[in-house]
Amino acid sequence: MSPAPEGPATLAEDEVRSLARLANLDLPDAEIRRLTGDLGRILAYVRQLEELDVTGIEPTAHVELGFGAEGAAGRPGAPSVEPTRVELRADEPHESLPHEIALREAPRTSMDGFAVPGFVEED
Amino acid sequence: MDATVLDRSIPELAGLVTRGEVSAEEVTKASLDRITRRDGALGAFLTVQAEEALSAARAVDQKRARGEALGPLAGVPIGIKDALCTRDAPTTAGSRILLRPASKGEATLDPRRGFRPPYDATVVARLREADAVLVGKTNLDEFAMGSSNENSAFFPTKNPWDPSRIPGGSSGGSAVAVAAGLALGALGSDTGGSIRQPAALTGTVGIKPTYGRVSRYGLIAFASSLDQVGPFAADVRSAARLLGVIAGRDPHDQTSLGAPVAAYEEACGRDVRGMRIGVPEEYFAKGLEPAVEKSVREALAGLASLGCELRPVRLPHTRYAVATYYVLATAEASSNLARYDGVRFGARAEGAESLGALYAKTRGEGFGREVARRIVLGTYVLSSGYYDAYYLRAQRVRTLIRRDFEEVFREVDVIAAPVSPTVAFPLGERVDDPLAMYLADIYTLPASLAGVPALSVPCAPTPATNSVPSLPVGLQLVGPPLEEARLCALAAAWEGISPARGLRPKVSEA
Repeated sequence: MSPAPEGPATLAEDEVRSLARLANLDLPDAEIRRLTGDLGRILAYVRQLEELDVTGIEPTAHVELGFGAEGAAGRPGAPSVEPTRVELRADEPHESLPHEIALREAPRTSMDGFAVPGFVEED
Repeated sequence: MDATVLDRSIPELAGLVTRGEVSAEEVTKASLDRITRRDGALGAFLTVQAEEALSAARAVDQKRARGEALGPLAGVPIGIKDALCTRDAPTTAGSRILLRPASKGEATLDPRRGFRPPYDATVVARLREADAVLVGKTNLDEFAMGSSNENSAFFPTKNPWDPSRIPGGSSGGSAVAVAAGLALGALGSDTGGSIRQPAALTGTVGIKPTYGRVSRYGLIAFASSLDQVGPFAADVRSAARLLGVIAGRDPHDQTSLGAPVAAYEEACGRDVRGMRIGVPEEYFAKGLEPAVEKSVREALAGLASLGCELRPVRLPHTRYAVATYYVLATAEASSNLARYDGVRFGARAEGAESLGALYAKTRGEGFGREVARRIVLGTYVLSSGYYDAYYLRAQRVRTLIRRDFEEVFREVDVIAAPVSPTVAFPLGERVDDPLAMYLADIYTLPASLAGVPALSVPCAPTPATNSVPSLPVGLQLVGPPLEEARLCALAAAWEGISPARGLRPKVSEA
C-alpha cells in the first residue's frame, strides 16, 4: 500500500525549478516564485485524498466498458446497449504521410529533414 | 436573406435546405454575416474560414441540384473548437506554441498563423460527410485547460448574456457561437466539464458522451483517459442530431466503442413517465448559489410533474473529485504536451544554442501560465517518490468515484443535479486563484472520471437584480454508460416545459 507522502506539504522554490527543468520549461524566476505558491496551495488541497483508505482498491487508469469485473454489462441498471469489446485494428500497411507534408509545418528544415541546433559537442 | 433562418433548429434548417426552400449558400452567408456583425464584441471565433465555407455550401447546393440525397446536416453552419484538427485550416489549441513563426511585419499573435494539420479529425470528417458547413474555429482555454476561456492566448470570449462575464470553458467559443446564433451547432471537447459548464453558463445544450462513444482522433490531446468530443446546440433535438453524426467506432481511435449508435433524435419524443431520477445530496451542498439551487430544484419539480420519480441518492466520493482530477489530468497532460518542442511544427524560440535549450526556451515562451502550472504539477505527481502517493492513489480514488455511480445506477435511471455551483462570473474574478477556478468544476468532474455520459440543458435563468442581469442556469443529467438516448429523452421532455425554452440573449450588432 502506498504510504502517506513524506514530502513537505509545500514545495520549495528549488524543487519547482528542478521540476520545470525536468519538464523542459525555461521559466523566469518571477514565474517560478509564483508557481511555487500556486502549487503549494493546490497540493495542500490535493492531500485530502490521504483521508481515504484505498487499501485493496484497484486503480482506474482508463475506463474500459465491457472489460473485466468492473464492466457495466450484465449488472442491474446496466446499459440496455451491450458495450462491445474494443478490437484491435488489422495490422495492414498504409500509405504514410508524404515527406513534404510532414515537413511543411516545421519551423526550420535542412536537407529534407527537421533542422535542430547541434547536440554533439564539437571543438 | 432573413437572418432568422439561423434561429431554426438543426433538423428544421437541414429540412429547408434538403427541400430547396433555402440554399446552403444563403444560410452560410447569413452565418458569416452574423459573425462579422456580432463576434467582434464576443470573440467566439479565432479564425473564420469564409471562402472554404461558401465553397462547401455551394457544393451542397450542387449536390441537391444533381438530385443526390443530402446528409442529415445539409447546409447547417457549424463551429469547431480549435482543439480539433481541420485539414489545411489553422488549428491553434488556443496556444502560442502552435503558431508558425511570424515574418517581418506580421503580428506576433495571430491565430491565422496556426498549425495547418494534414488531416481532419474524424468528427470533422463526419460533419463534412453529413453535408454540414464548417464556418470557423472557436476560441478556447489554451489546450482546453480552464473554466472561463480567459486562458486563451489570443483573447477571452465574452458571455452574450452579459459581456462583462465569462462564458465558461474550456469550449467557451463553441458555446457562445451557438448562444449568439452565429452558428446552429458547434463541437467542443469535455475533459472535466468543458462542454457542460459553458453550455450551462450560456443557456445552450451541451452533451459529453460516454468515454469512447465519439472518436478522439484529431482532437489535440489534453488528458487522454478523460477527453471526449461532444456537441453544442440551442435545443436538445439539434444536439441529438449532431451526436448521431459524430458517434461511433473509428479504427483510428482504439478507445472508440463499437456498440451500435442509438437513435438519439428519435429518443427526444419518448415518454419519460416512470423514469427514476436520482438526486445526489452532495451536489446541493455548501458553495451552491441559492439562485442556482432554486432554478435546479424547480427543474426537478418539473421532472416530477412529467411523471418521473425523484429519489435521493448518495455519491459519497464527490468531494474528492477535484483533487483526483487535478492529479490525473495534469499527469496525463504533462505527458501529452511533451510533443510541443519547437522541432516539427509550431513556434520555435530564437537563439537557442543546444537542443535542450531549444526545447526549454520554446516551451517556456510558448505555453501560457495555466498550462505551465499543470505541466509542472503533472511532472511532480508522476515523479519517483510521489507517484504512489499522488498518482496511484488518485487512480484508486477514481475507482471509488466510478463505483459510486455504479451503485446509484442500480437504483435509478438518471441522475439530475446542477452543472455549475454559480452563474457566469465576471471576467477577471478568478484569474489569480487557480484553486477557486478548479472548484468551479466540482459537479462536472465526477461523471468525467467515471466515463459516463452527461449533458447540460437550460433551466430557468436567475431573476435579474439591480446590478446583475438574468443569467442562464444548467440542469445536468447523468446516465449509465452508453445511455445518451435516455438523457436526450429526458432533456427533451424537460425542455418542452422549461421556462428557458426559446430564450435567447439580446446580442448587439456592429
